[in-house]
Amino acid sequence: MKEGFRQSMSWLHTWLGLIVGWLLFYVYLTGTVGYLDKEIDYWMTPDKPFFASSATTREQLALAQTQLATVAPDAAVWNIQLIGGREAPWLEIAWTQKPDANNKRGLTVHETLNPVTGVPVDSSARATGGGQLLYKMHYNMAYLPLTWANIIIMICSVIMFAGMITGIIVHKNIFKDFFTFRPGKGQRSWLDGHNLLSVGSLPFHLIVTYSGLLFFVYQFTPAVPHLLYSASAGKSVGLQVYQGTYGVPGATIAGAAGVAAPLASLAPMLDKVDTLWGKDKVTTVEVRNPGDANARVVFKPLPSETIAFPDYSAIFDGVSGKLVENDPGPYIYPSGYADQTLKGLHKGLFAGPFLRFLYLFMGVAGTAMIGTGLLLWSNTRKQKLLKTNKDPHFGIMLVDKLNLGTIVGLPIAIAAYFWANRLLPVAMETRADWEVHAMYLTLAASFLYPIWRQLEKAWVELLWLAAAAYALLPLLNALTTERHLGVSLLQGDWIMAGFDLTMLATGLVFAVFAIRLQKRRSIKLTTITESRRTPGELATS
Amino acid sequence: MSAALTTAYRLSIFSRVLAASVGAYVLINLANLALSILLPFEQYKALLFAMQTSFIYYTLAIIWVFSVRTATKAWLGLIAVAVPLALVDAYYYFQGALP
Repeated sequence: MKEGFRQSMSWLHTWLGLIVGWLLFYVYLTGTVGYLDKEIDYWMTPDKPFFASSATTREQLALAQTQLATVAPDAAVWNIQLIGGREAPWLEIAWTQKPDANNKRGLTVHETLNPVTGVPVDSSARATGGGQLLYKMHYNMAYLPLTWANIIIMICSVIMFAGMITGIIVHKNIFKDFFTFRPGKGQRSWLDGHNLLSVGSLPFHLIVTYSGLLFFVYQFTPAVPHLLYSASAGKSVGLQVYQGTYGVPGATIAGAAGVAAPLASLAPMLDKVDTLWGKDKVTTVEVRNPGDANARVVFKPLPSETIAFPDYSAIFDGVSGKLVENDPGPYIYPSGYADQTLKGLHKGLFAGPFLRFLYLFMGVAGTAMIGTGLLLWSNTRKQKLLKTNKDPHFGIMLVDKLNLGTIVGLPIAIAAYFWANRLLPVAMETRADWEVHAMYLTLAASFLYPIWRQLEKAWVELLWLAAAAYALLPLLNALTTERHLGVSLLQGDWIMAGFDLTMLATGLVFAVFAIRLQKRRSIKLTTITESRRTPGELATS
Repeated sequence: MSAALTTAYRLSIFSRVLAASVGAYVLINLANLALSILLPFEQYKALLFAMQTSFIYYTLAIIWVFSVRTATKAWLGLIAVAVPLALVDAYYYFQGALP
């Protein structure tokens, strides 16, 4: 290949990065945004009111039970989501009706309750994909069949992992790079920046990429499990491997007996759970077969309780109110547990505010690492050509345009998703779909724009557009809802206010980039015009 | 780099890309199957362990393919590892001894 191991790895790193860089930028950015998925959900459903105070957990449980007994006494399953943790800003209930001819799984209905009075809140009008859709894009993409999307993302992640390992090999001085940044030196600064972003959060990048791959173990080499197992007893190979890997849930929950029996009060069961797990550890309560002699009540812990998703639960007899089983969850052997722990680290559901901030920070660093890497590719080549006085060829110009469309276009597209959430008519039929269309149409436009606009101008203009698109979101929120900063800050509605302020700050960051680039551009233009003057002109001027 | 952009160079790159994508992928499948059979764990544990670590072997294979001096050597290296693995896999497969 090239002379020497490190040189050939540098070559490999460069080209692996270029092949998948744009898609990885998309994966990293939408994935990073996912660390705020619940907060985005909250902002995108402004019709669900903010409740400054709520009843105690026990009272919430009683309110929910009363409401469910009124609206869904014959349901197959009740679900109660208690307020607590970052996942649950609202008291929510859901019930699944018994399966019938029309609906084999049974229809599920959701309701949000006032956490003080228990009265249902009407908030179903605004259909939105919310933060969930946004973060799921990082592995499901959009518009593509799921299998295809997953395979594309898997291949990109495999290349990402190889790109990171080769990137590490290229670096002689990992420790030194950590303290090296020489700003204002053109190409050298970009490389320093790329190194700093990569090395500074290297453990995060490694873990998040490798654990991301673990989600695809089955898709990566599907032939192997299919040679080892065959579908039997109604179990597909996939299901067999899944159950073999993660265990079959230990607790078996009794089915309906068909004999009516009143459901005991749920609140006292919560006291028992508190003695088992400690206070305020419950997030959801599921009631199977309410009103039946075999009613079972399942208490589930907050996902922040363990790094791997907690799969233990406490199961009560719904009629006698006695603890039936303190289910530790399926037994998982070490490699299965390692798998779940790494995936838990990937999702970061366990992270509190400080860790969550670090997750975001490193996610942004990773996104910037990919972005600077992409810019380096074309900058390095353009500089070489500049020395030989050649014009950049088609490949470089294409990369340049794709870089702009991705690095600035994607953030603008995400902002467009938020704008669509507020601007599309609330009662619109295909509203949630059009939120997504708005995002991807904007992205497409950002790719098209630099085709007929001079590249450097397009950079500055799109950066300003991004700045405006984010910085004006709080204003848009004020114009279209009653939940603007003046209200949310006063009420102590921190999620709403926090989102608005984060968007404002994001807009300002883009504005700073735009101003810097504009300045650099004007300096460059003067130097070019200076150098183009003949010596005679310079002497006379 | 411009001097190196000969047809031979391009062919070498193409061959290596093929080795890294198709060749190394086949190798990883063979390795996963062999590990699942040979590792002294229960079946699922062995399979999961093989699948979990396959990304690391794959990366190593890619690095091998692009670091050696010639594309031929890259292929030979992959084949040298693949053949014993394939023999192990075939032995168990045709014996019907797959679990």
